[in-house]
Amino acid sequence: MSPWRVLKRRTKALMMRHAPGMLTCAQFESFVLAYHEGELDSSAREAFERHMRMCPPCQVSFADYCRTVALGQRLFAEQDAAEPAPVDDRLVASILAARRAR
Amino acid sequence: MTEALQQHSDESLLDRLRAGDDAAFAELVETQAPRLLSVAKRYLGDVAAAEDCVQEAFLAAFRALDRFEGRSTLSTWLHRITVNAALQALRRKGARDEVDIEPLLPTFDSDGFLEGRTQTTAADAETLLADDDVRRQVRAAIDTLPLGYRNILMLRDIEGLSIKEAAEMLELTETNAKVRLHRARQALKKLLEPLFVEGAL
Repeated sequence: MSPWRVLKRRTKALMMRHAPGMLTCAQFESFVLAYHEGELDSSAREAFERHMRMCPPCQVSFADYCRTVALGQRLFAEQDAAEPAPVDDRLVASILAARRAR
Repeated sequence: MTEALQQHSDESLLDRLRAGDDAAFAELVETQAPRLLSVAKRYLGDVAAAEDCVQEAFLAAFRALDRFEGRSTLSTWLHRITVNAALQALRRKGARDEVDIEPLLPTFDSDGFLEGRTQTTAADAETLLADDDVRRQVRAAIDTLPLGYRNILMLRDIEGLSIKEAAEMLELTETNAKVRLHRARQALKKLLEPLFVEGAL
């Protein structure tokens, strides 16, 4: 890392730690789920968003987090909307036979 | 079918089921088994295990028919029982081919900065999932999560349960469920990173 970048990061680190209401990346990270769930109150939400505006890695990290959740949510959406594949008759017969055997 | 209509047809089917009408049982199994099988397959992977799970779920449902209170539709109720049966089957199966979750969690440098990329692809989930290869990658990545993390992610993000409902099903406290869900998503994000790297597609 160039001396200039080190200096920039150090300065930013100092700002993040000492500016009032500024979150560190680790604190930001600990609020991600609550923010995503819409559970933060307005001042916590503002602090979260302020950090995100200042910090490109957290911005990217949060964007990828949201996309990860969305990938899970949509993964089977098409399958759920479509007619499911028919099951083997054997399975239906076996379930009904097991019921009668009780 | 509208909900009211569904509730009505459920009620008449339920009456027949409770009366022990064989045709009603056949109707229930024939109409519900296909969807339940596809749900069970998401958890268990192979068809034979999923079929066993669906059979177990139906038998459990038949035993519990008298306790069905009609607060949800029959099909939602069966879905829930099937997911429970699948979770139990996974527990019985025990050790799986799992990754270690720790190395997949974000790391911070000595200044408390997140060590991460500053660029990502602009493609949204829907665009990414249009590629069958991506779908397979996402499924495979979910499957390698440790069970305790995978299950909460499946219930919350894939089945769409609330965190509270998912916590109850997994017998976790809500706080613990949140911690696990968050870690599961972070780990999955890390596993899917190649998809997000700009220009990867």
